[in-house]
Amino acid sequence: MIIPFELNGNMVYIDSNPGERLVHILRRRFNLLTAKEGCLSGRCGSCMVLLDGKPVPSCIVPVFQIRNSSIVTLEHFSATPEYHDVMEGFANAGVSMCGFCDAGKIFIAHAIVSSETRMSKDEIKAMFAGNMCRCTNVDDLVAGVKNAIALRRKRTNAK
Amino acid sequence: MTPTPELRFFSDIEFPDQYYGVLIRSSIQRGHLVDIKSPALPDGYYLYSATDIPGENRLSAMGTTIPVFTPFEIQYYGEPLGIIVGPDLDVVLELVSEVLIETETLEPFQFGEQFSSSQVVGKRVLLSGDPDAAFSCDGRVFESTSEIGPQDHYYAEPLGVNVNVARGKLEIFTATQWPFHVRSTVSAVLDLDPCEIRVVPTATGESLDGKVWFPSLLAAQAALASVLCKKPVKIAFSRQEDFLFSVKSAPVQIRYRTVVADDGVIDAISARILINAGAYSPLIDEIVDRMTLAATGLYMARSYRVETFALKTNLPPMGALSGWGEGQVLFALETHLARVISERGYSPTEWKMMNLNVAGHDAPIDADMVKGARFAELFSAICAKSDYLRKYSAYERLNHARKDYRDGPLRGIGLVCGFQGNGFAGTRVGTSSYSVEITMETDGRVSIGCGLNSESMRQVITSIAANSLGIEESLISFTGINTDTMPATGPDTLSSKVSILAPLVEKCCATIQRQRFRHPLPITVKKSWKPSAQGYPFVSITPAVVACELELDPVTYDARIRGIWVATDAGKLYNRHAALTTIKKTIPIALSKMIAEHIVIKDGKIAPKQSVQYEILSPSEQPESDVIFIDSESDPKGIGSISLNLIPAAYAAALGQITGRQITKVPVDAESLYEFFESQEEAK
Amino acid sequence: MLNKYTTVYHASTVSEVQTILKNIAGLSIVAGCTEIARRQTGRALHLPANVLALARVPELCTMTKTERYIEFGPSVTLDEILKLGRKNVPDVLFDCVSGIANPGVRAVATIGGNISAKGQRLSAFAPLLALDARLEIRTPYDAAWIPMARYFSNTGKEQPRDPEFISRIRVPTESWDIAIYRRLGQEGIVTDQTASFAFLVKFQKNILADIRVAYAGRFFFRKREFENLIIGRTLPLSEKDMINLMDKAELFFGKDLFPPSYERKCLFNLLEESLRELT
Repeated sequence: MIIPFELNGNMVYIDSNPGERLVHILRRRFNLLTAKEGCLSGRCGSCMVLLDGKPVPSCIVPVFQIRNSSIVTLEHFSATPEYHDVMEGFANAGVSMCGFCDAGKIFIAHAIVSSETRMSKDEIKAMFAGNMCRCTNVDDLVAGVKNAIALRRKRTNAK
Repeated sequence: MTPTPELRFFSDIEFPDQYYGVLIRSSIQRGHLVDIKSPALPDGYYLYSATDIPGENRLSAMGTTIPVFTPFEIQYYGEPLGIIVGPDLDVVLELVSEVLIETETLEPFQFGEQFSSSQVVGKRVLLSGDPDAAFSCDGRVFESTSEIGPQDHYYAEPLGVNVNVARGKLEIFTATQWPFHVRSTVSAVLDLDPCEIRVVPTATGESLDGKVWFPSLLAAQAALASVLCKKPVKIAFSRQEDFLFSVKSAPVQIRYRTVVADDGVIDAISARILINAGAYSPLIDEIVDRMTLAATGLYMARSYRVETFALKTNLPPMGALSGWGEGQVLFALETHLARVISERGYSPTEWKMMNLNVAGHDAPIDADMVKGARFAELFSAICAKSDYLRKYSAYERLNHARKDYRDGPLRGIGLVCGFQGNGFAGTRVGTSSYSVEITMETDGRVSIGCGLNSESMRQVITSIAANSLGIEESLISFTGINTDTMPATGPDTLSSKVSILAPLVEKCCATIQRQRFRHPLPITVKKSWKPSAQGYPFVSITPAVVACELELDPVTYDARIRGIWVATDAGKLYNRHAALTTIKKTIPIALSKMIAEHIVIKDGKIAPKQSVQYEILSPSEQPESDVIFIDSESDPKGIGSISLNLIPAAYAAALGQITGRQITKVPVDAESLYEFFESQEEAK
Repeated sequence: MLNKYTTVYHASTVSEVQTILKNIAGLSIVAGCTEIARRQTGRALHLPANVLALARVPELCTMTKTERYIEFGPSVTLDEILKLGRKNVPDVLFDCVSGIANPGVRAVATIGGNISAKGQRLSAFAPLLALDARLEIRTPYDAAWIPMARYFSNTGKEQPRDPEFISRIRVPTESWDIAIYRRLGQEGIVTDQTASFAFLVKFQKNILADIRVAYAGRFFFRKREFENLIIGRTLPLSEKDMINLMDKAELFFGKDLFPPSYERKCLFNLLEESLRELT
């Protein structure tokens, strides 16, 4: 089955079995390795990508679903100022990151930072329900997100 | 190839002309292999089994041997019999599914009180005084049996390995806690000199001690295939395959009997520990040792007996999980004692302080280790922070006065004390020495070679070195990225190594400080540590006290955590944030083990109890917690297992206060609490 | 293993969906596919032989709100429902959706998929049942509105003559004086113990004007006859009323269909706890 979609800003076409998981397509066909193969059930966050702008675990997306959609992986996102807001926020809060589920933490943090809704600490924690990170203390994650929000505000106000 | 920030994980590494390997597994629990009938293999696809191994068909670890591919005797469902490799993983998977395995079935070994001597793979007995005399005398004998089920490590990256030939050596990329064991195993299996093999450890993340020896087995299987087919070979488990066939924490059954004299002192305590060692358990001697020593906790008793038996069964390999079994034993002990305390009406803190072995009596745990433990301060800190004493009394009255379970809030608070054993000094480990080599360069940069370490350990070491040498942390880097360049060391087991490494780093830095202004740079200093001759399994303990407060929902029987408090003497803290992170991140892991991670075993096959996949508690469900480090100038101590060793016991003690009975099974779920309350209602 | 012969049909309008249903036999209708993915652990997802993908049919992804109803296309994702905000979505539905899975899965999972899951009813079932949701069911030839309670069956409904699909979900947005939603089982995942409970009450002055009680797990329950016993009673309920109602509940939620178990006990606990709000 031919499936056209936008990948990191470029239109691409693949011929694939429709049930192949998106995470495998990204890793094997495009060598995009920031989406990792973790739980294969959408729970751990290691495979997260932005699908039409929304953070989504790519392991539960059969590739036929992404027809004409936009996919952004961490490789591409890492060149954006939004990424740097999150990473600096995390660094200032001492968030530990071994690297395996970085995509999940970063994309969810980005979603929170970009959200127009002001979230409480518990709401921010709940947003990380799909990140089975055992490297870091979730309090640091929450602090990291709050730092990132402040950095984003500062950057956008400076403009 | 050198792992880079982009290629930190073995699963990201792909070589040109990469081949993929999938293991052929047994379909019976116990028996004999008669034949492996391969399907027709396309060009470029190969099947290898035991008959293809040029060297020794075994992995050796601490006195246990495990076949790389079993040639005849099948010991557990899913045991590897061979491997198929080829360039297309989907084709390889299909070929493996078409392999026919002919077997003869035998009756599997069972796990329980009745076992044959041939099943015993580990045993230790400690005896002091005459506990039987105390048990037969008057006085109430408290007895309980706890069962802790198997659990999975659930690390982020499932197991796997990639093997390649490069720069004249066999290069093995795998996430392992023991790279030198990988090298020695592959060397023996392939009959190669160790210097022909280079092991490049990739990032393990939080392995919870699930990557100590198992990666060596995978490495041997992949390396065999790679050498024979002359291609790089990668084996990468899926999450489900990892869950079904990798090491689990050994299920344990522990029976305690205790007599407490009228003065409140433990007259006699006996523990009978049965460990389900599965088909293979390379770490079983260490586990037996540590469980035996932990059996009476840090308490003293006028007499004691501890009998520990590790029993072979026909289950997948069983082993350690974030520690060496102390957590399971401390769970059984502390919940047992909580019941004793409650029924006798003692004050928990007073009773525990009275019975802690601070006076140096004969006890399984070296009395010198307990003497220095500042338990009075730890108890005091916990009681102050959690308001334990007031809550405990209030909840005792509330729970005793309750007419039925809907009458008033269902609350309890549990307090336990225990320890984490530090260092890894098992008598069976061939290379359990550790060394640190530090070089200060002419430009003031410092490079540290200290074997394999986790990120948090590196943070601690960096802080120590920066502090000792008076330099910026950014000037410090680590060397030794593979077995060619790193000092030979034993396994990197969580944080327990910090007790060994931290003093070595301090000594190296102190020597450099003395020399740097008198001798020209660069200066290199190396210090080493070897375990002492008597082979006590750990070099020190980290004492801790933990409290947990719960409220049970009478509608759904779910427990809500109102608070968790952890107080510990972790020694000198070079990086307080790293220490806090270590404890806090392990709290949800400990809770997950206690309430969420259920495995059932049927006909030798393991499966999640209630869902399709093995599920863990999300770290986002981490409850509010307080961590107290008491000020200390002693050497840094490991704290990575404190939560796992003690939080389940504190949780169970709190539940025990609510239900009025000892919680004896881990994990404990809402349904089991429903059954308890139903039985109480029916009894009325 | 991959089903090598899976054929996926895409449609861009509802009428195209109807045409495909008319012309191709044996189609399985999918939207987010999260329920398929949840049950599989293999490297690739095994799909049925013929699949009709509805996730990207614009008409099935719309949400509209009137004074009395909010309507969702079946392919509306759960996170889109949450983005409407609590003030635009009935409380029990909002509470339920915010507890489903995690944010990443909610960005893919759909409301239609949630209520259509076979074998075990998922979280949104009980709230929509309690709210008297109606489903627009389309066949290749026509469309009809059916109450949700009539569309689904505990015992397995008869095979329909024509293939059909849910094209709209209409949820009344009347306000309730008491709206309780509770979920059983571990948060964020579906286990054997997962079930949901919804309880809605409206009163006028001191009279209980309407009450809805719905439960969905391995079975689903909504007993109008039980609710009618309570409607019209004067509030607050007395302790005697409570005992009487709980005894009646034992008859309505029969042990033959729902034997004594943790699940049954939780249902009765939830019912009692909710009724106590009226005492």
